[in-house]
Amino acid sequence: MTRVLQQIALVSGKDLRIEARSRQTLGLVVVLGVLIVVVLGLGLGPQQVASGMAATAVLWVAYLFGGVLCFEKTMAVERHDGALAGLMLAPIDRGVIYVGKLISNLALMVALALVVTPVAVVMFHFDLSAAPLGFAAIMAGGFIGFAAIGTLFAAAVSSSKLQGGLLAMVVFPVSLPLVITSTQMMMRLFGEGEPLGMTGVSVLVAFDAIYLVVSWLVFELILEP
Amino acid sequence: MCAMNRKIMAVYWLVTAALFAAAVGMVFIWTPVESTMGIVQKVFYLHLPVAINTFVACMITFIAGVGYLWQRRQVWDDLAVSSAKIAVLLCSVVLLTGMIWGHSAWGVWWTWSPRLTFSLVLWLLYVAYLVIRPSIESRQRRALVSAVYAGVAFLDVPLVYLSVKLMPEIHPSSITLASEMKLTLLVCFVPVTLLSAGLIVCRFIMQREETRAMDSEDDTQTDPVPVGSAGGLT
Amino acid sequence: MSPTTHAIVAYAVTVGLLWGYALSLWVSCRGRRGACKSGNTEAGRKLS
Repeated sequence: MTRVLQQIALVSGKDLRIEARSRQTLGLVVVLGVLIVVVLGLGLGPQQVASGMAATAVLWVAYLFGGVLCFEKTMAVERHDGALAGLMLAPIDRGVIYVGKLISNLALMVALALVVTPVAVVMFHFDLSAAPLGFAAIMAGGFIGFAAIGTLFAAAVSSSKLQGGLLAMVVFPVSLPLVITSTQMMMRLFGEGEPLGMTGVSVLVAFDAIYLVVSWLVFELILEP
Repeated sequence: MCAMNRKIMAVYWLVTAALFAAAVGMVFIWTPVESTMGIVQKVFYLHLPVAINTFVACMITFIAGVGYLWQRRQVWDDLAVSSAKIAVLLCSVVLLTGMIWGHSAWGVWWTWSPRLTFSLVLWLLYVAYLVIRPSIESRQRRALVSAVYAGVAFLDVPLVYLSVKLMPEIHPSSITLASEMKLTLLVCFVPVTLLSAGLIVCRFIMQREETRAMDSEDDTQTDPVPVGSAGGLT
Repeated sequence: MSPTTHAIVAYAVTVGLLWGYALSLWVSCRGRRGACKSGNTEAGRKLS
């Protein structure tokens, strides 16, 4: 068990180290996220912005686009100099590679959220202090499911010669239910001031469980140098 | 054998068309008009059978995807793409008839009610399936990615259903029908199911022919693009 | 629009889409058959 954990830490640690040294993806993603928030803030106009509820939708747009970019980049790292072939030759389970990639993607997305969320909170007059823990829990649930499916399809899509944007086509429809669930929960939480409902949480958990298990199972089939 | 098949096909389609016409006639002439919703309720007799056939088509795509992952045979992929095409077509019909009905019943073309959102997400899932396929060049790769996507998309369906349950509901959850209406609904199921099955089979046969044509092309010329030369995104 | 028109339009859309697709399959099937299978021999006969 500790061995597997060690291996996972190695895989994701490698990705994060590369990212920490180059700071390529994160800079790109964060600026993209802030841009999306600003563009939507301008486009929605002062009236919609004042309601405060637009912030969750805007945040999801920023997370979705930023997230897809993260998934593409963490997989693209492996495309250089046949690094993926080396990784696949390493005596570790493919599931470990999946979990490692998933963790590095999640780390990148959390970093993105840490910058973009405050920006949206300020610009959209979003009262996060009403339920900060609920917000974090819902977003964590959404992120895990989204990253699970994104990591899987990033491996599938990037190994076929494809233009960017296709990954978004694949991942967005599949993660729509996550968006629906979390925005509905946010509306209850912030709009009506209800505490987190059991149904919403269980739907999110069900999503995460199914996406994680399915992706973990089929990742091996899809990974190709 | 070919002539025989064609004869069977012709008979099948003639019977389906006749049954379809008979069902439509039955809906408009024999079935009584529903008292609260009026004549627009007649949309229901096509709406529901088509919706159920949409699920069946999605399920066939899923089964074919699993079959491909299991056996890695091109037949399964051909079946998957044909039924996905029909699923999108049927789902479009469900959405359109639903919108027309909604416009008459609620006065708006679209509302974010759970059932409508559900159909829309289903439609988007399978449209994306069809759209991403041509972007993947290698045929094995395309079949593999589509099979995985079809699996995820199908598992998504119950989750979408659960997630839209969180939205406020205005759709009728159950409709009480007079016995004539129930009979009409059952009768309408027959031609609609025959039609969708026939469409899937025809599309599948064409897809097989296309694959065979591609195969004979591949025999004469080798793939000019070497595998694994992709530089990723950068 | 009256409810009757709505109902008729809904039926027309359904029939148009589903049977239209069936027709388009039939047409392209015939076209292809003419091009590759039996039609090939026919065309060959005409050419020779």
